[in-house]
Amino acid sequence: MELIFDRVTKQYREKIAVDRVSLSLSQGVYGLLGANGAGKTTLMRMMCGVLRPDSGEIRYNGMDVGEELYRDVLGYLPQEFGYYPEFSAMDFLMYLASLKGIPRKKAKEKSLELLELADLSHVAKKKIKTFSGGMKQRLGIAQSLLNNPEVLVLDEPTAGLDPKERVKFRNMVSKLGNDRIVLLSTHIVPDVEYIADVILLMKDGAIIHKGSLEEIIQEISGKVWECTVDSQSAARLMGQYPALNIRKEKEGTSLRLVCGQKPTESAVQAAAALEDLYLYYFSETSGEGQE
Amino acid sequence: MKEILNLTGYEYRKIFKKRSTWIALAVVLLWTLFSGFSRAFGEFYIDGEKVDTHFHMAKQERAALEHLEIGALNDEFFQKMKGAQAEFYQGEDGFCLNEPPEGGWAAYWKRYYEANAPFENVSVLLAMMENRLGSLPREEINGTNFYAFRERMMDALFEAEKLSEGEIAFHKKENEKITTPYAYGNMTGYQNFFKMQTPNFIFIAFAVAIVLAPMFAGEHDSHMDALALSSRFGKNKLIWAKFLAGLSFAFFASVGFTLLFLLEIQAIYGLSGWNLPIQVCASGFLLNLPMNMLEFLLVSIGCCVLGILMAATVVMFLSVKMKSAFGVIILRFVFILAPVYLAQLAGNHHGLFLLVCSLPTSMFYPRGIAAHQLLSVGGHYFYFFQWVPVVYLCLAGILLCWSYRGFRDYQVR
Repeated sequence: MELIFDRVTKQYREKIAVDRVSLSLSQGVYGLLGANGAGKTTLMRMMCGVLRPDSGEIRYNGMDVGEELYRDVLGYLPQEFGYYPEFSAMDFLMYLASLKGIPRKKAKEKSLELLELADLSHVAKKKIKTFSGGMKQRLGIAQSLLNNPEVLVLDEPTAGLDPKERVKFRNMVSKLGNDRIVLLSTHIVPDVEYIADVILLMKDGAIIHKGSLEEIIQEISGKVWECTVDSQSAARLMGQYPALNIRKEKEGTSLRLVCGQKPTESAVQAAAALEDLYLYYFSETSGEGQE
Repeated sequence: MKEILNLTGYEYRKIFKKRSTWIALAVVLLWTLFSGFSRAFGEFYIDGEKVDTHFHMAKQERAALEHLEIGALNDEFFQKMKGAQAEFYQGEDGFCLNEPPEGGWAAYWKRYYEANAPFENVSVLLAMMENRLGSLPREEINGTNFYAFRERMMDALFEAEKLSEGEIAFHKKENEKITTPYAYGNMTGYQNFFKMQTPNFIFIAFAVAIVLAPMFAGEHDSHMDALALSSRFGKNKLIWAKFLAGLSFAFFASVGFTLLFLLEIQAIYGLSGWNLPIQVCASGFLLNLPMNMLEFLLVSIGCCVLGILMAATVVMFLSVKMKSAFGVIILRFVFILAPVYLAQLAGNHHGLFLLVCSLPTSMFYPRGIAAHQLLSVGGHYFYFFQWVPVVYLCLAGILLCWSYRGFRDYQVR
């Protein structure tokens, strides 16, 4: 089970959305982390065969992602999850099961099972247009699992889910990663932190880091600082370095900063977390932070 | 195939879950009912006095034509017609009474219509002839010169239409195949069908455009495109299912509404004159096509259904290309209405006329599909209803292939 990206490039007019990405994914959960416009969705669309790369190729076990055989083992939750408002949840899953070539009897069993899993059994016959954002998202996740996919692509799957649903989702995805390739993108760093076996950091169309949580935060190990300063200094430091945490206290402003060198005399080093790394690379002051 | 049929079922479900579908079909249904029954509604007045109901007149004309003593337009028929009209026609001005008759208009009309109902249609044909020839000695018309006058009328028509010598020779040959004297009987049902066929099918074409416009564009509008295209059958069987759903919907809608209209026609006017030559009704009087009413009815319906299927193909093509259902509907409406006006403008230019009259809307005109302007290939001449289906078949094949590739290769951005 191997999904290979070989110098995959996609350009929209002047902007290079994905820049010569070469990757190899085997079974496990991969968390794709990146700021808006980093190219995550474009990369995922190309991986699902709905967007053609300008150059390079993506192959799964030797077959091109444009092939029907690949689509047969693919599960996809797009960022903008589409649905037919007048369809009921059950009808919708049955329709997508038909599109995925699942026999009717099996499709019915699987749909009921997934509705149960997504906590939508009680609204199985209700029209999707009556669903809340979270319910629609859960339905989206359910449909992506209909064909028990070998490759599961989830683009912002936790958007719209409440904290309880997110925890449930994380647990579900963690189990799924045992026998398939799961790639999920999100802005919510803790989701990736908890679920992903491997984290992919994407910036300006390129994968800038790939590794386990421990490996990846090694990058900023020794670069996370905490300090309490007066408000004037706080403003200056926040402009200069990516600030992860800002808290007003009696003694002044408490800051958690990511920077290469000690930002103030009073700063003390703190243990690095993924959120620090994210900030280090993707905050507006990231350029200065990296210097 | 099983998967395609299953997906086709879902496409139908999508179609019928839309309110716009039901509204469009309801409008066509109302129009079909109206177009069939409307001519039977209302009353007939002379000088403000109600003399009859249209329904009674239709009933009376139908009964008279179905029980004719003379079932052919021969000497005897014209003799009888003159006899029936003699009492009511005065001098060269024809039927006129300046003063209300004794006993009132209603009684007078009753007597008039009882005598003249079987000949009303022939009077219309003679008026058409007079219109084309400039003048016609109506009192001299008999079973022999009627056909000679008609031939003169056709010559004048051919000249006005600027037909080639080959076309004229072809039409004259066709005319010789029609048995004279023309068999005569109840043609009113067919005449009413041909009269309303064009607006009926234009309504169906509008409905088909509204219903099928979201077929592909709707997937983009609802953001279902990414899900559909990433699924196993999204780039192949789903597209076939959409084509099948679109074309079958267009077929069933057009055939269904046509059958309903025919039922109305049968109920009011009757369709018993199926074996009469089309030349005995106003819609076929100017044609030299050797066909009976039933044959021409089937050819007309066939052309209309074909026009609707072609229109459905164009709608689906636009739906793939335009990505917005609303844009498709607007453009399709323009396409539907354009030939109605263009046909008049293109009348003097043979090539342009052939092009305009081969557009789907033009196929809804009974006289259009059998127009005198013919397509000439290697010394053989073909009517519109003969060559346009072949063109449609090729064109539909190209458009469907193009649509297939368009949706399959669509890039979700």
